[in-house]
Parts: sequence; C-alpha cells; structure tokens
Amino acid sequence: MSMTGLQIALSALRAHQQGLDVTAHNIANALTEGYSRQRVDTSADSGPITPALHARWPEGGFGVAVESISRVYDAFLEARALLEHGADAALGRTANTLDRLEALFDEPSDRGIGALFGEFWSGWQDVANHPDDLAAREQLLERSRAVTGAITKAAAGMEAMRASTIDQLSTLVTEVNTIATNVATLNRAIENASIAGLSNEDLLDQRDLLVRQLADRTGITVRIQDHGVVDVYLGGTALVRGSESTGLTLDVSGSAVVVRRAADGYPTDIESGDVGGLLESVNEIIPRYLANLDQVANELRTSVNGVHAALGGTIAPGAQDLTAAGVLSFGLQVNGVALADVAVTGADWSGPGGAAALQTALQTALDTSAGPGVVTATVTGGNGAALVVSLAPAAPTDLVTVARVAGDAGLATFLSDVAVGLDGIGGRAFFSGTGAADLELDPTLTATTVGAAAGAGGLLDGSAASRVSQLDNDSAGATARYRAFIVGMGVEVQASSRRTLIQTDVTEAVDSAREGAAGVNLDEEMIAMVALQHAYNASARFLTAIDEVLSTLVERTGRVGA
Amino acid sequence: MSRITQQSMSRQSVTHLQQALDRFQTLQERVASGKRVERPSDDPVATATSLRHRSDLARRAQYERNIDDASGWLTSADTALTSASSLLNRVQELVLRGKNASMSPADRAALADEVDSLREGLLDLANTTYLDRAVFGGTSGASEAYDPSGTFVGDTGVVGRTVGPDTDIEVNLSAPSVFGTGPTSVFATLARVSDDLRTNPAALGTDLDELDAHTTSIHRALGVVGARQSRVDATRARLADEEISLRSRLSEAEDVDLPEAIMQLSVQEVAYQAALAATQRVLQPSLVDFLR
Repeated sequence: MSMTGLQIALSALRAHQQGLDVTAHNIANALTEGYSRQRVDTSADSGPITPALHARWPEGGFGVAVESISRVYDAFLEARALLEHGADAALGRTANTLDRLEALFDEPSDRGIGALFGEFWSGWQDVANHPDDLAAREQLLERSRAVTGAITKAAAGMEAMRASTIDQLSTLVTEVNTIATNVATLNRAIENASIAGLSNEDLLDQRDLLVRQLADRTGITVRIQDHGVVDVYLGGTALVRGSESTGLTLDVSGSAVVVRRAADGYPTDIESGDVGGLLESVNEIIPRYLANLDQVANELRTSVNGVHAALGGTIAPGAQDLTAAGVLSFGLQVNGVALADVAVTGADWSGPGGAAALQTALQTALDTSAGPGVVTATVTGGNGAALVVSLAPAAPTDLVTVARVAGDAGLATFLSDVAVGLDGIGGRAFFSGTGAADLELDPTLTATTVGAAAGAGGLLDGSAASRVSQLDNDSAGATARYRAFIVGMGVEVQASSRRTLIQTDVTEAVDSAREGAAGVNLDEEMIAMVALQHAYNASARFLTAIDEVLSTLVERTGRVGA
Repeated sequence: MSRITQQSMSRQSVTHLQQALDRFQTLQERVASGKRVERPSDDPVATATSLRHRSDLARRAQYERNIDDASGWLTSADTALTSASSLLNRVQELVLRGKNASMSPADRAALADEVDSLREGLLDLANTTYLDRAVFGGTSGASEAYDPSGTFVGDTGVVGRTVGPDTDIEVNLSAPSVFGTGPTSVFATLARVSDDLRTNPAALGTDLDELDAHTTSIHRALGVVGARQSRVDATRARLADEEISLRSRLSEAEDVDLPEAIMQLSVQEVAYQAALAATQRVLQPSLVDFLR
C-alpha cells in the first residue's frame, strides 16, 4: 500500500469542494439575467490509458479529476430566441406606433373629427335656410375652422410622432453601436481566456446577454466561431466579426430614414428588432396614415370648393336645341368692376363638336368683354351629355363674379347653377391648402357681406349652400372617407395587437424553454448540495480512516514486546 | 418533461398576473364608462356602425331644425291664405250688395271704401313675413312681395328646406300664381271693383267672375300648402321614429351590456384573486423549507 489513498481522498475533497462552490455560484446567480447554470465535469482518474515502457501503475484508480466547469447552454434554442425576440420587439414597436396614432383620433365620440364634420355640414344647411343671417354664416365659418383645426392638429400630431420616433431611432443606433463594441471586446477576452485555458463561462454569459440585447434592438443572426467567439450579422452584413465591430449611422437626409454602416455608408436592411419596428413606423405606417388623412382633407377641400367656387355650370342635354339661335348672356365682374355683358349667340351645342364651338364662342365674347386672356372659358361634355361650362380668372387673385343678366330659357340652367360663394363672390375657394397639414379656411373669406346670396338665384337663394351640405351624403365624400380611414385604422391596430400578443406568447415559450435548459432550479441545487455534502463527508471520513491505518502502521509496527 | 426553474416560474406568474389584471382593468373601464367601444380597435365593425349612426343622428337633428323652419313658413303662408280667402269672400258679398239696383251711389261709395280698406288688408297678407322674410317674395332680398301699388317686386325663386338625404320640400309659393301680377293681379281686380262700385256698377258682374277666379287660385294654393304641411308632418314623425331606432342601434353597437359586463367583471375578479392565491402558494416553498 502506498500513499495513493491520501491522494484519492485529496482529489475527492477538492472535487466536492469545487462542486459545492459551483452550486453556491448557481444559487447566488439564480436570479441573474442571462446566467446559465454551471456544472463541474469530473471523470475518474485511472492513469494513462496508453501503456509506456517501464511505466507500471498500481491496480485501481487515482481518484477523481475535475475536467472543466461548463455551462448548460443550448445553441439552437439561443438562435431561435434571438429570432423571436427580434420579431417581438419589432411588432411591439409597430403596435405601439399604431396605438398612438389611434389615440390621436378621439373616435367614436362626440368630440372627434367625425362629429365636427356633422356640425360643419349642418352649418351649411343653416346658411341655406337663412342666407341673410350673418350669425348662421359666422357659425359656419367657426365650424369650418373647427374641422380644419382638428385635421391639421391630427396631421401635426403624426408629424411630431415621426420626429420623436426618429429621435428614438438615433438613440437606439447609438446604443447598438455601444453594445456591438462591448460584444467585440468580450469576444477578445473570451478568446484569450479560452486560449489560456482559463474558465470563461461567465464571460460567455455576459456576452450572450449583450447579443440578446442586440437581437431585441435590431434583430440579428449569430455564427459561432472557434474559442467561443461569435460573429453578429445584421441583414446579411457583419456587425461584429471576432473582436472587430462596425458602427451604424442613421441617415435622415432622404424622405425615408435609412440605417447605414458607418465605415462605407452601405445601407443596412433592418426589418426586425426595435430599430426594424421603428423604421417601419417612420417609413411606412406614419406616412401612409398621413397620406390617407391628406386624402380626406383634399376630398373635403375640392368637393366644397367645387360647389362654393364654381364659376360655371351645366347645360342639360335637350335644353340646348338652338335651331332658333338661343342666346347665352350674363354679366361679368372682375374685382368688383362690372364689364360689358358677355353674350353668345348659339348654334346647336348639343351635337358633336358643340362643346368646342361653345368654348370658342364664349372665349371670344369673354375676350371682348374682359380683355384678352383675363378670363378663360372651358367647356366639356356635350354630344348627348350635359355641357359643363367653367370660367377661370387668369390671375388667381382676380375675383370674377358672374351675375345673372339674361338667358335663353334653355340656358337658364347654366346661369342658375353658377354658385356664388358665402361672401357673394364666385370663383373663390372656401378651403385652401394642399393636404391635411395646411388645410385652412381661405384667409380672404368673410361672412360680412350682408345680403350676399349663398347661391346665384335671388339674393336670398340658398341652393348652393344646400348643395354643399348634400356632399355629406356622398358615398365617396370626405365624411365617408374619414369613416373608412378610422375603421381601417381600427382594423389594423386590432390585427397588430393580436399579432403582438401571439408573438409575445411564442417568445415567452422560447424563453421558458431556454430558461428550462439553462436556468437555475433551487430544488435541484439543494439536492446537489446535500449530495456533495455527503460525498465530502464520506471523503473526509475516508481520509480519517487512512490516517488511522497509517498511524497504526507507524505507531504500532516494530514494537513487539516493547 | 421540461425543466422548471424558479426564475421561469416567477416570470410566468408575473406575466399571468399581469394579463389577469389587464383583463380586469379593461372590464372595469367598460363598466365604469358604459362604453364597449372606446377606441376603433376595440371593435372596428362596431366603430363603423357607430360612426355612421352618429353622423346620421347629427344629420337628423339638422333635418328636424329644417322641418321646424319649413313648418313655420308653411304655417305663415296658410294663415295668410286663409285670411285672404275670407277677405275675398267679404269682397264678393260687398260686390253682390253693390250690384243691387236699389243701392244709392252714396251707399256704393261706402262699399267702395270698405273694398279699398280690404285691398290694403290683402296687401298686408300678401306681404306676410316669416323671420323677416316675405313669405311670398321668393328668393329676392326685397322686404315685401308687393309694393303699395300692388306691383309684384319679388321673384319666383324656390325656397326649399332639406328634410332628408336629397329630399327638399318647397316651402314657398310662387306669388304670381296665387295673387297674380300686373293688371291680372288680385290687387288690380280689387282696385277695379272699387272704381266700378263708384262709377260703373254695370261692370260688377265681370268683376265678380274675376274675384271667383282669384278665390279659386287662393284655394288651390291653400290646398298645396296643406299637402306640403302634411308631408312635413309625416316626415317629422318618420324622423322621430328613425331617431329612436338609430339611437338604439348606436347603443347596441357601442354601449356595454351592463349585467353581462358586471358579471364578467366579478368572474374576472375571482380569477384574479385565484391567480394571486396560486402564485402565493407556488412561489413560497422550495426544498430549502424542508431540508433541515
């Protein structure tokens, strides 16, 4: 018997000691984010397995050898988690954007744009009922301002959302750059430790936690290299390669916001993670809703202006059988100055080429009356359809008024159809602007022209105002478009929040699986602790036994008869 | 069997508690506000219905205001025409008395004076105003339909009131078709009657025929006004019915079914408490509590 027993006991005590340390480390990190439980890999030490000359080994083993301390880690689950986390973050961001968009519109309620539209159209009917009532006109103007105010406010809200989202993006890109640098630094430390044969499990955990944060922010894929190093790929290009990382920059110069690689300005396609979600919000969702709101605003503007500012009208087919040479005759004012009457002696304008003939005749008459090119006439239709006549002043600031003077019975439709604006002036827009953001009442519009007709019949004819109010019933009008806008938004928000819920569940499940594999179970650690304690106790007892055996040998032998 | 760890258990507990609390809060909000649809995404279909019904209701409220106005116009016209009719009856009586050969010129002059004053009264009736607008003046801005000489100074423009989608009711009558214009107007006839009473009793027979014609046109106008009034009344009744049904449909679309919501709230409350109790039981023990 040699001293092997003591060696074996020593190796066992060391191994169990280390086992207890690792258990303690596991328990200590039970709640540490990203921590993977560790375990001591041991093996029985049975000496060299390759026999060598003159080398003789005693029977039996040499005890236990601690091979390594390794972490429990599932690379497939990890890759899957990165993917799902990226998707979850992107969906969460777009859902949040849609939620905020929805909150901009207080619908359905008595305060939203829908309700304001209702009051606006009602205001036109009040004016139609009492064209001579200044209070009704002022009320209409106020209600119009309420509508334009609400629409521009919503548009401004969307613009502000876009701006704040770009701010968020730029913060995120900075964060991504920092994290990528840290991942590269940790990669280097891991590689060094691995080459030096040191334990690097906790470094790996820290690095993987950062990689997960990257996945949350930009949605990445990783490739595992030698020595525990990972490369991080973003949309096909490397963000981190070994111990090198590439910075990203946010390019807001174009109409679409683009993330580029700082080194070469190459655009990076990011569709996942917070950045992906925010990019979709900024480049796709918000502009789309803004465009839809523009459509509502433009429909409102053009349809109301079409009636309010119409300086022209239609001549119904059948009414212009002018074999008896009808006369289209009306008075014209430019900037309040009355001009000579415009008179056109007609042929039959209902047939082929009639519209062109009327246009030519009308233009000649207008040039004579108002001066060459001051007012332009356009005639379309005819040949069985109604003739649509419109007059436009050359200078946008010119106010052209058509007053009923006389007309052939068949042409009276044209003359009575001429709408005179709220302030008694034809050809003036009610709304101005180019979209939702700058929709406003025409600044020159007032309600104060007493006795101005809202239509061009008698002084108190309200038929034009009444026609404007009928735009409310148009199935493709502003009200209907707005309704479709709100409902479409509701559907998208609902679908997006459902998708987010599902994705969150999926992510949760993957996280649970990962946690199940890598997480610390306290019961398990307690059992390991008890087992290790017992094993340690047994080893210690064994040491005592060897000690006693040796002391018997040392103290009792050779003392026969002493 | 998958491995369960303390951390995953606590995380899942938090998630589930959060979800339960979220549902609890949603229901609580619904019961408190009485609205099932607070935002379009709560129920896009109900939102569509709700938006449509809301704008329908706003429109209907305006139609009702228009109908009140139309009714005012028609009532004014009706009163004026009824008075005008009885006034013309009185003139006919006077003419019949004037035709009597036993009347002395002085008696006829007295009758002519009364006809003159009746003509003034008829002018006033023809110039009846509603909210400062001459009811028979068309769309002209003139404050009266006939000037003191009996000349028509209004126009024949149509005054319409919108009482439904694309439904307008004419509320005024073209004065020339009721009272006539120029030499054929009822005022010219009355002036002639007065003259004839004073100077030419023989022509009174012809005057009587003219008076008959005027009475007929006024009666016809009364008929038209009556028909329009009944149409306005019918529309008003229909609008009131529609409003009730619209309101109930709107409420169906966006309001909470209170008993159901309260019951769901209680169920959710119990569920939340159960989740809390379960979490308390699950999170507390571990092997640590049992190893001594």
